[in-house]
Parts: sequence; C-alpha cells; structure tokens
Amino acid sequence: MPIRVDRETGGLEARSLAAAIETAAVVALPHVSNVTGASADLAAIGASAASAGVILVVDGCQALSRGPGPLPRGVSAYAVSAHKTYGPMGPGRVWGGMIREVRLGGTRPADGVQRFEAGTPAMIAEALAFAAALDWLEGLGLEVVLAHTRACGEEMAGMLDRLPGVRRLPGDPGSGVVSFIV
Amino acid sequence: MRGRIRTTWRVRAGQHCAQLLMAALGLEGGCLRASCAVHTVREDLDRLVRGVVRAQALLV
Repeated sequence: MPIRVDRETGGLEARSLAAAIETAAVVALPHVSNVTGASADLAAIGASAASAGVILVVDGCQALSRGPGPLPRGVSAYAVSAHKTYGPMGPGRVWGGMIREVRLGGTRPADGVQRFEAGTPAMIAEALAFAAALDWLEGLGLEVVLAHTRACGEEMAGMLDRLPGVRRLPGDPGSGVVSFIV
Repeated sequence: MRGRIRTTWRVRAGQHCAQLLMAALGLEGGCLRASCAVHTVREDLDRLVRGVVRAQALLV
C-alpha cells in the first residue's frame, strides 16, 4: 500500500503512514525527500514501527550530508549513497547489516559496530573515497554545513518566489532542495 | 571569485525518480529541481535566477 504525500508540506501524509505501519510487513520511506526536501520524523515513526513490529527501511541518501543524527529505535535498515555526500559515484552503505547468528526461529544481529559491516566490499577505492568525503564533511562541521545549506536553500526559495511565472512545490527549502515549475 | 571554480547551474528537469509523487502533486510533466550545498554562494543563486528568467523569455 502506498504512503501518500501531504500536499501542504510535501512530506509523508500521516494517516496513510500510520495505516501502513499498522498493516504492512515492511515499510519503506525516505528520511529527506529528494524532490521536496521534506523530512520524516524518524524518531516518532521508528517508535511506532517498533511497537507494531514492522520492518522499517529508510532511504537516507538525502539526509546523510545534512547530519541524520543517531539512528532511532525501530529503524531496521538505513541506506545511504556516497555521491550525495560529495563522494564518488557507485558505493553506498546500508546500516543494519551483519548477522551474528541465523537460526530457523530468527536471526540475531552482530554486536556493536559489527552489525553495520557488510560481507565483502566490492569497491575498495570508492569506499575509501566515500570515507574521505565523510571525513571532509565532518571536518567542516555538520552544524556549519547544515546552517549554510539551510540559509542558502531558504534564500534560493525566496528569490524564486519573487519571480513571476515560477511556482515552487511544497517542501522544505531549508534542506537545500527546491523544486519548482516555470 | 578568485580561486573558486565557476559553477554552472544544471537544474534537473523531470520526475526525479518520483513518478508517484509527481502524479500526486498533479505534475505528470515533472518539475525543475535546484539543490544548494556546502559550496553554493550568493553569486550562484543570482545566476540561477538569471537563468530562469532567460529560460522564461526563450521558452514560455
């Protein structure tokens, strides 16, 4: 079943999201929309997913460079890509990976950071470049990056709003993403 | 600006891998998307606005 879009905010529509969490086995959603820039409240959604026992898969590609924060409880897997974090094309990462034990009755993830390790990485050079991009971003300071992106995106939205014949889509320009039609 | 790579805006046009979202917003033809990031400066925003105005004059 689809999670619908809230036409006012460009984000996830609350009722269909709640219905999906109540009835589906797996719920997949973006943390930050690549079109509208709207953010999902992962802490609240994760808590509902955990109490409903649903598998929650999150696309974090747009969120990673904006400081996604610690993964809240209830998020089963969180996927990111290097190229949306100033890194190379190709690699990505899924948190929620390595398993410690597999039995017919269920699986147990590895302890600590080990659970985030995938099996054999296919792209060593790209993975190192991805790591370098993340180090660089961290060196700049995520709060600095976030403040710059927010100011820039809001200014961009204001400038576009002043242009006749331009209509912005709903969303959060503070994410840095602004979609519009001319 | 000295020492800075001159950026050219390449706004992405289309449905942005989100056809269902476009349909829900009544934009089957898609939309334009501009993103700013850590390296974007005010001059880039001015250039975007000039580009949109020029495109309107040419195309709309």
